Amino acid sequence: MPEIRVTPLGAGQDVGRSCILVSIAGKNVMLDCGMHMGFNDDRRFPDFSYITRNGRLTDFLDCVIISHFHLDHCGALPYFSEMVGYDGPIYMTHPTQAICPILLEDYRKVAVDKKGEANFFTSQMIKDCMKKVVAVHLHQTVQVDDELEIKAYYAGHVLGAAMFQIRVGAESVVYTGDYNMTPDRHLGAAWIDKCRPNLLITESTYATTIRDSKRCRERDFLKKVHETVERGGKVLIPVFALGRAQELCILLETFWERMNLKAPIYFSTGLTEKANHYYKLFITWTNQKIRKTFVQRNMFEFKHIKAFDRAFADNPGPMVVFATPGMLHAGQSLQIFRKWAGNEKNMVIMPGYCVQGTVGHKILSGQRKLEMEGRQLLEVKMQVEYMSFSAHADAKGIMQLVRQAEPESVLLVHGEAKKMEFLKQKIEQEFRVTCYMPANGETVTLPTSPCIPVGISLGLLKREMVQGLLPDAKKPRLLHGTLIMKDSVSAWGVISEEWVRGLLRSLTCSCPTELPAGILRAGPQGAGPGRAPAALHLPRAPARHAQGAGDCHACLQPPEEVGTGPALSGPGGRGVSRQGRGSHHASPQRPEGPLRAAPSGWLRDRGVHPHPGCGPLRGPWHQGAAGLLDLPGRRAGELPHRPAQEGCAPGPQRRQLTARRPPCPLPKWRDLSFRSRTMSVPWVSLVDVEPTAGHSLHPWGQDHSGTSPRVAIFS
Amino acid sequence: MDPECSKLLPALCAVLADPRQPVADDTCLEKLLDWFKTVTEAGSSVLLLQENPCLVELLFQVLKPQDLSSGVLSFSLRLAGILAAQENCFQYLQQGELLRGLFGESGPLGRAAWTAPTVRSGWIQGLRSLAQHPSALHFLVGCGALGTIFSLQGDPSLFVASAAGQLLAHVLALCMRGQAEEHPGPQASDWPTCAQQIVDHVEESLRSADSPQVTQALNVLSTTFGHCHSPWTQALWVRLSPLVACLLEKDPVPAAHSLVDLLLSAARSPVLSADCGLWETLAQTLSHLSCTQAGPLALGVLKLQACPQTLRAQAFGVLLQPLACVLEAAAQAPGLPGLPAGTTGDSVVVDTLLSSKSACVGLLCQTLAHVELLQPMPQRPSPWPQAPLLGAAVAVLRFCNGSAAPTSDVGGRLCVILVGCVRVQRAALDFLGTLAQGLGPQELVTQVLAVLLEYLKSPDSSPTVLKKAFQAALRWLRSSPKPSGCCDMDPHSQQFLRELLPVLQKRLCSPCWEVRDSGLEFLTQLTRRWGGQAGFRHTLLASEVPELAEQLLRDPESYVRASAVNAMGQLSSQGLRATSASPEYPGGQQKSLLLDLLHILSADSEGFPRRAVMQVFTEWLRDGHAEVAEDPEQFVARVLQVASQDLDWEVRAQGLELALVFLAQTLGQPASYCPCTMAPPEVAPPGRLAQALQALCRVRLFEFAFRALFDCDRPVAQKSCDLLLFLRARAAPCGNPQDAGSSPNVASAEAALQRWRAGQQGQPQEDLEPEAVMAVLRSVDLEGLRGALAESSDHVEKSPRSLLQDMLATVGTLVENEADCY
Repeated sequence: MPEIRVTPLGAGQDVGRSCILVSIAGKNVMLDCGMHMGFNDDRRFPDFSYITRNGRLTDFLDCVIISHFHLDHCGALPYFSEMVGYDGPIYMTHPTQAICPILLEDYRKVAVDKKGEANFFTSQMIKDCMKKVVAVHLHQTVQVDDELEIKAYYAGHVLGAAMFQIRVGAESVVYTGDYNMTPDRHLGAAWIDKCRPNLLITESTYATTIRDSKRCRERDFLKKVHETVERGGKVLIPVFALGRAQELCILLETFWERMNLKAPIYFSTGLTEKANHYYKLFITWTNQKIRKTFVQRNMFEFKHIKAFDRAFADNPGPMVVFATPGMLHAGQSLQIFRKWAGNEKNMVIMPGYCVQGTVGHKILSGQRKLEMEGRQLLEVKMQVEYMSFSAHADAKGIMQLVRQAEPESVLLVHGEAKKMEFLKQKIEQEFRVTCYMPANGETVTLPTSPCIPVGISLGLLKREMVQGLLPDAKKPRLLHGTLIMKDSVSAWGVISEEWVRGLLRSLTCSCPTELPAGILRAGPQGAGPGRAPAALHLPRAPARHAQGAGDCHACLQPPEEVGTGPALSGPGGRGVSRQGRGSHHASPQRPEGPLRAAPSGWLRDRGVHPHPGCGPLRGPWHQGAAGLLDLPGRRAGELPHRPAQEGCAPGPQRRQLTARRPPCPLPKWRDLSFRSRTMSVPWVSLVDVEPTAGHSLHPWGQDHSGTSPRVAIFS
Repeated sequence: MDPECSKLLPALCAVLADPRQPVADDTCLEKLLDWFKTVTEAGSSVLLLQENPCLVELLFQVLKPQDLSSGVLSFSLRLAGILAAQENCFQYLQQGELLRGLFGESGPLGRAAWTAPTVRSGWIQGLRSLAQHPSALHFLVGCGALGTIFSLQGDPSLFVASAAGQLLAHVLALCMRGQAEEHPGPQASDWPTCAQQIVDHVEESLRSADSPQVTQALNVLSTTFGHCHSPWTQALWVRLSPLVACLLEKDPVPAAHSLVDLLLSAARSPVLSADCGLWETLAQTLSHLSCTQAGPLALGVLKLQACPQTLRAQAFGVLLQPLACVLEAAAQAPGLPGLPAGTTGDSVVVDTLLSSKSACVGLLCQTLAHVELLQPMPQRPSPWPQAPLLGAAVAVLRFCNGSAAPTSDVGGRLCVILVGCVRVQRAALDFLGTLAQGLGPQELVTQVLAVLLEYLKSPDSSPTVLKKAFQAALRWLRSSPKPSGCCDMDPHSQQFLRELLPVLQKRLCSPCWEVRDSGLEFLTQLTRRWGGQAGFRHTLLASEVPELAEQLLRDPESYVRASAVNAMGQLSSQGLRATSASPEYPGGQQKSLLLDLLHILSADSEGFPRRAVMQVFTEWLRDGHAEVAEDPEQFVARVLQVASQDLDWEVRAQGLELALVFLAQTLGQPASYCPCTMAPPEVAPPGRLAQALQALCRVRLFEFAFRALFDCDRPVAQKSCDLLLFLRARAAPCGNPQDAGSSPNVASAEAALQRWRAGQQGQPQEDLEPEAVMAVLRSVDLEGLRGALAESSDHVEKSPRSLLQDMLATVGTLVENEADCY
């Protein structure tokens, strides 16, 4: 039985060292590969031995996905790929690919240069690691292999941050990474379409917080800076090279301009240029305002912010300096801090979290006498302020994203256990979905319906094309037929009524190779109330050649949904019956059967979805069940909640089916054929056409990859 | 323990024991445990507790039913374990029944906190630390901990489950420690009670129909046989091996992966390797498991130092079966050498290969990786079937790029499955590269080079595949036999190179930076190896490759610019620049590469190209490159001037490397001298030394080194310190500090030194002179500085005192959302 398994190696009831293993229908994906800044030894990296014990890493993992460039999401990557030995593909967005090596170099510098660590990854290793990266565009469906595909969505948070949808056959998981549902001065808000994944893995840093108004925080920040500068003091703002620093720069630049202030603002040398470069290069990743005004004025070319030189720290008079690193644990920011700490007119503003052991942590916890090298004491007289500008979604934002994506279940990571517990309850109450919050090392298993390849007879398709001509992409079409399947299908486990139900919940159709490639396409997952049970799409023309296994797929729906399903209610039209999903295999209450498109993404790209009004067939399962293959059309992300759509016959009528014995001469085949009262011809039969069976259906039962469909449809 | 830490400890324990005081960060508790571990390893735990009664109080507080955080609970359990690892401390803690309270059913085990995996993990780790002596064993049995450990083997947390298995193996070994010499028999009555309970549990699990339970038992046994090689393990194997063998009778074999691990760790054990039954079990397992499961076992068997030849042959046959299938499927005509007798394409393997794309890809990748691992090992099977393996690798690559023309059905289907499969391409190219360590028939080598060329040419090759193809090509070129009496390439390699260079030319223009970079790295290696050979030089200069490489010095991607710098540095060293004044291009005018590289050093916005330039310059200086040899002093002066201003510490450190080479050359010392070595360099003759010092002053090496001595980046300062120590030792007899001490030049140098020490910029008012330099050099405590630099920058912050202070300071200042990370 296919299932989705999730095991956090890091970020399970924890912040830092994000690393989540996801297994979907046999495909293994690692989501993020971060490090923990609180440790200086092996504990900073996730414990990869739990993967390496499964054999060779590259054989076990199909890909690694990095959500964004922060070190707690990518800091372990060169270690993982060049020292532990992962040799497969690593996916990230273009900006992340560009900025990642800079931060990794910076991290290496602190570890090797400042702390003198040996056996650390080298610059060459960072480069070799980056060569394994496959950069992706937003909303681009990337085929990792024939079965596994990923798609990136905008996440806000920092430049290039993305949420990823990972799909294998009918199953899909969305991983948010860190995201922000509120636009800020340089980035937009996270967005995802109503993709209805089986599972949404979301960060929950601010699981219990409703953030105060951003404007208030900004005003407070500007006021403090302004007051200090006015009284002739110096302001130090320790920041990380790229990320929130740019947001604060824009804030100060605008304020300086408006107030016509003269005090100089400096930024660590080199980094301003780098930041400018990347923001220019990836201007499409910034918010609408910046994009619109880019031609007239590049927001990242600051008028008031200049490059900093070490000598400037001794200059008299007020100034504001952005310096790295952000936790005052080394480098320029620490040097400046030492110089300025003794003057009460000065101020240091910590805009982010600091780990224990750093000077940043000490001053934030109120320590005012710091021991430095050689037992020297540094008295901190300057003002110390903490002002969080991190761009994470707050509780409201997380709920908003769940509402937007409509997942079947939710899994919380990147947060504290107590806060997660609170949010978990909120999510379960409001959305009536199961919410998980595994600790590191705990595995959550969600059973899903099987995705079974189905061969479709060429004759049926040809006839369909002749009769109905090629469909209008926006109008639903139907294929009707008989379902037959083999009595004993050992490879799929025991054959039982439950199994049969599971089978029909999510059948995947594959067309014979003789068909024009790409002729069979299916929309994305049907989910939610009134979702079409089965869909087989015949697009107007093939878009591109199918590649490999599973190229032509469609899925059938669970028949018991029709008429017998529970009343649909709740937010988003969700059925109450969906509660507790994930605890039973092939739950009969599952209201939807995802559709698998192939060549993947073709129809989805065109927004073709199963028709919500086309219910599956109803009948006693021991005698048989029926499948309807409909051909609806709709815009992506806009699954209507109406019971029926134009161009589709009324659902109830078409749901009346009568079972009959199929004209199948083969012994041991279970009769699962049906016919709708309203339909005439052709019949659709599903039969096992495994090549080794050696029966007459063999010749057309094989797809490109050599995967033999176990079930076939013919007229 | 540091008295200051002792002073802070009671307050911290009070905070930890107070459920109202949240502990900010679990990493602090981890670090605290690290510290306690160090303290108890260095001294008596009882003494520690007596001197710091707050620790025992903390542990007693944990016993009270209160709402302590799971982190503190876990910490306390682990701390108790660390303390009780010493038997007298164990007794001390047991006096108050403290340990029973913590690890028994009345402790966290019976409370709601047990649901937190961190508490369960703390419980296991605490017991793991505690279980070091016989008293601990009695305790484990007495408090019923074994039953809990058994159940924790199936814990939903991987970490807890794995730790539980390891603890059982550890306890079993501890139980049997006293029995080791007595060689106990397999009879149950001979075993200590605790060991008996564990073995009974393992037996029961092995008999279970539940696969996870079987896995747990196998894991315990794997750990036991892997870590303990006492004679009693043989008795254990004798007792349990029938049950293990029974697993093979089931279809499918349960927990195959763990079974393989167990059999291999048993086979590696010197105590068990003489056991014939074990070899038989291994042979049976090899034949019972599916080809995917049997692969790792076969590899493990072949890696064994001592193992029956028949078993090795069987294992090798199993390992090679998928490749045999590929060879058979690809065979167009008989004649090519086959794999060893007994290695045929088994129909089951064929079925697996054809069953699905993922099965086929998985099996082939696994096999290729396994054989690749085996190839360089001394214990690899002999004779090694180099030729058929080459044939198989070529066949796989041909299936993958669609150039195979199989005549069989299987071949046709493999073609369909594998075409365009990047994963198999990567594995096969790695494998092919490794095979270059051996030779093969020329016909096959030609095929290898041809298929590599196909991959390098193909527009469908992904950047990673191209990189691997370049690497494999390089290895094959390196392995090509040299024609007798000639140092040039053999004709086949030359032909390959002729065809390769146009491809490389094209790849250097690729829109993917990864491809351009891999191409340049390949070119650098190629030039380093064959740059001096006429055939190569001629072919290379006839192509546009050098010109393109030079153009890539201005590539938008910094990694590529850095690789281009390396490539050009190498080409220039070998006189292979496009318009160089070589015999092939007489009279050609060329722009100085030196100037180009200097421009990159001073103007490139990224560190990688600048670092590469410094490496090239150091090599040039060391090797006497023509442009450098014209005026080495001027060259060094210019480079040091630019490098000293660089923001990248690695560029400055590389500058010191270059300075060291110059120093060694000037003083007549071998350039490979390492200043860190104990033996001091030879003292230079005074006359020569004075001249050398003059030269060093002229290139402003001292200014660079002195400034670097106070560099904010530690490696730079360390390197400079080493360099100056070397120089001081070398120039020991030169001058007298008193002679020069009062001259204005010394004052200027010292003033500059003071400024640099204070982190300020600026130059000395006058040019430094040798006497002044030496005087300053003697006045600086270089040894002391070296000692200070040896400590990491965060040594103060990571001290236990700092940790305790931080934890205490955090109390009450915890704000909402402090865990926002960025």
